[in-house]
Amino acid sequence: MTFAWPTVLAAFLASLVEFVEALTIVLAVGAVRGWRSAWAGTVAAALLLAVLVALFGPSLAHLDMPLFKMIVGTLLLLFGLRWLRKAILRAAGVLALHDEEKEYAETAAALRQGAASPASGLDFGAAAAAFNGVFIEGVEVVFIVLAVGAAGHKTLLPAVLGAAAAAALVVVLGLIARHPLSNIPENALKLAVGVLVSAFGTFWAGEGLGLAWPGGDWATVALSLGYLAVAGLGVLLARPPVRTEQARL
Amino acid sequence: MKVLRAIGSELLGLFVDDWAFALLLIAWVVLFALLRPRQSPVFAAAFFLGIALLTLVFVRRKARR
Repeated sequence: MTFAWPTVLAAFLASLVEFVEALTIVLAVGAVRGWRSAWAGTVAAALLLAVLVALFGPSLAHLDMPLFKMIVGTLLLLFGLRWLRKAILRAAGVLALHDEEKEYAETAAALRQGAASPASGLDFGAAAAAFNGVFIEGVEVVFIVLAVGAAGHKTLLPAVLGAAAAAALVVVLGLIARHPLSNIPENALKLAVGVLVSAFGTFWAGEGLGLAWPGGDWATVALSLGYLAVAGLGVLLARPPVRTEQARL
Repeated sequence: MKVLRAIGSELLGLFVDDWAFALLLIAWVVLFALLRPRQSPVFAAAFFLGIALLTLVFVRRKARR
């Protein structure tokens, strides 16, 4: 029996890149805002993708991908930059590192109004970020599988198997990386999440706009470094001036 | 209706904490969409630098308040 190994390998490698990008966001969100919310967003995105694939199948290939990327990328940018600005202001000492009194008052007020209660243990912001990341990458994996397996029904199954193997590998990587991440200080992680989500948001929005990123997907690394530099500069700009009396001491 | 409004405002709050910042960022994306930039890395760099500058300006503004 001959098996389409080149198709499996092509689908595996191409999907691996997309899954690793999704994993980066899920790990970052989970480490900062809780694994339950990160998994909830991931599972919701995976389920929605499964439903879309089951309903529309190959016709998904006709989706206006640039517009989709531009909208999701802009949403991620808004979300990531909100976190990044807050993390910069915390690192600069403008905002408290963890204002528990304020948090308590807000939670109590929410409970009094009968609004979003923490009883569910779900953080919608975190779940939404994980959902966005997994959904956009999942759609790309669907495209990859459809493109690589487009030669006919004999190549579609190997393409699906290649993508599934990549997903399994990424899930194992995620489980391994989960514990070391929980030892990093909270604000440093929040800053890292802001940097990563902003970098991916910029990349996807740019791709949707038709921009040519140098180095293709590797531009996300350069963008992450760029946002890290922005964070450093932001902390310097936001730091309150040292008073002369303090300076003398 | 009240519940829907609460969910809507919760969802909006995920992405927008400063309307001026959000509107300027969206305007920057729309500007690039209208310009339909050529396939040149210069436009990609300009896109990132604009967002970076906007972020720094708003961080400084918030710190000075």
